[in-house]
Amino acid sequence: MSDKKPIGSCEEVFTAYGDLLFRLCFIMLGNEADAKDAVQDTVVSYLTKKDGFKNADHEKAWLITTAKNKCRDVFRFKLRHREINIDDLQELLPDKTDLNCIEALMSLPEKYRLVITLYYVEGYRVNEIAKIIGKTPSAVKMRLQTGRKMLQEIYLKEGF
Amino acid sequence: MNHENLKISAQKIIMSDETKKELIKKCEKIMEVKKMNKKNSIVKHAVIIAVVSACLCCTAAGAAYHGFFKDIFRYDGAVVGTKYEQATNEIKVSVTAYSGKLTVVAEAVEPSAFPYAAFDNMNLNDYKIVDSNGKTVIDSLPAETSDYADGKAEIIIPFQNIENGDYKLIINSFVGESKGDQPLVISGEWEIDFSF
Repeated sequence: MSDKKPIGSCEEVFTAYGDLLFRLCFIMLGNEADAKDAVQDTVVSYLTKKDGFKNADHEKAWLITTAKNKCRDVFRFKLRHREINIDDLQELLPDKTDLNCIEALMSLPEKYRLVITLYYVEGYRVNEIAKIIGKTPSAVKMRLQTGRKMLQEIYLKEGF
Repeated sequence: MNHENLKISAQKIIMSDETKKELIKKCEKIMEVKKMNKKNSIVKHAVIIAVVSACLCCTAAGAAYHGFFKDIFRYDGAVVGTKYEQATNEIKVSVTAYSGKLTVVAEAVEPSAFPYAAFDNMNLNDYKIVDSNGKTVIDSLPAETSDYADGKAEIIIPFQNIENGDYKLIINSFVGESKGDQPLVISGEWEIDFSF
């Protein structure tokens, strides 16, 4: 008997992964409208997928990779620098400490932002992140190290 | 502040229930359109095969055609919208001309069918009016929908300072609108002769 995980319904995928995808896309894109579009595109790609997944972890990793690629499409389409919508951010994070923390993360370049988010927020390991983003574990470690350093500099500069 | 705080702060970024419901609705609608598009594409292919194998004449095949949805692609291949094509047999058009006004009545043959059932309004998109010499006298001037209900739209084209004579209205597309959705362009070929 196959233990493959079949494609779930629209509601199931939003219930299980909606917040994760929204958080990731929001951190990557900096505003709610673009994040919603990227989540929508990701879920539509998921629902049109014909094959199932090896297991739930495979499904989650596939969704993260697809969301990352959708965010990249938005970057390419806009052909300009990302705009962080501070109003959207304040609405989601009314607490100033949280706001400063996420604002610092969002000000990092894309490649560091993604790796830091997957490692610290979603709890993925270096090897798992390497598989998701298609890089070597040592490249992930380097990005984590540089990202951490950059965050530390922002914290010191802003006096958090 | 340390990096571990990131997790606590970031996990407060969640989708509101309202946003979740809105996105679920949108995704389901896109999937419905995609399924319908696929279904229509199969029907279209089946019709073509039937035409080829049975050697039916073109007129008979044309009558069997239905409209179909088609994706609009961006430069990088991503789908950015949908249009509806080959709707000639799905919308009946009639025209009344009087005192500086041209009233076009566009009526969906099956108003309860998708996409017509979803519209709140329907208007002309790409059209022109030519005189008996073939000269264009009006080209896609903004028209106004005075009434829309049950797939039937009454559209008024401002038609002033035009000499009396015979004219032809050529419509290449309509546009259907529903609240919260991107307008849907419905393409086809409609030609109606009228005198003014």
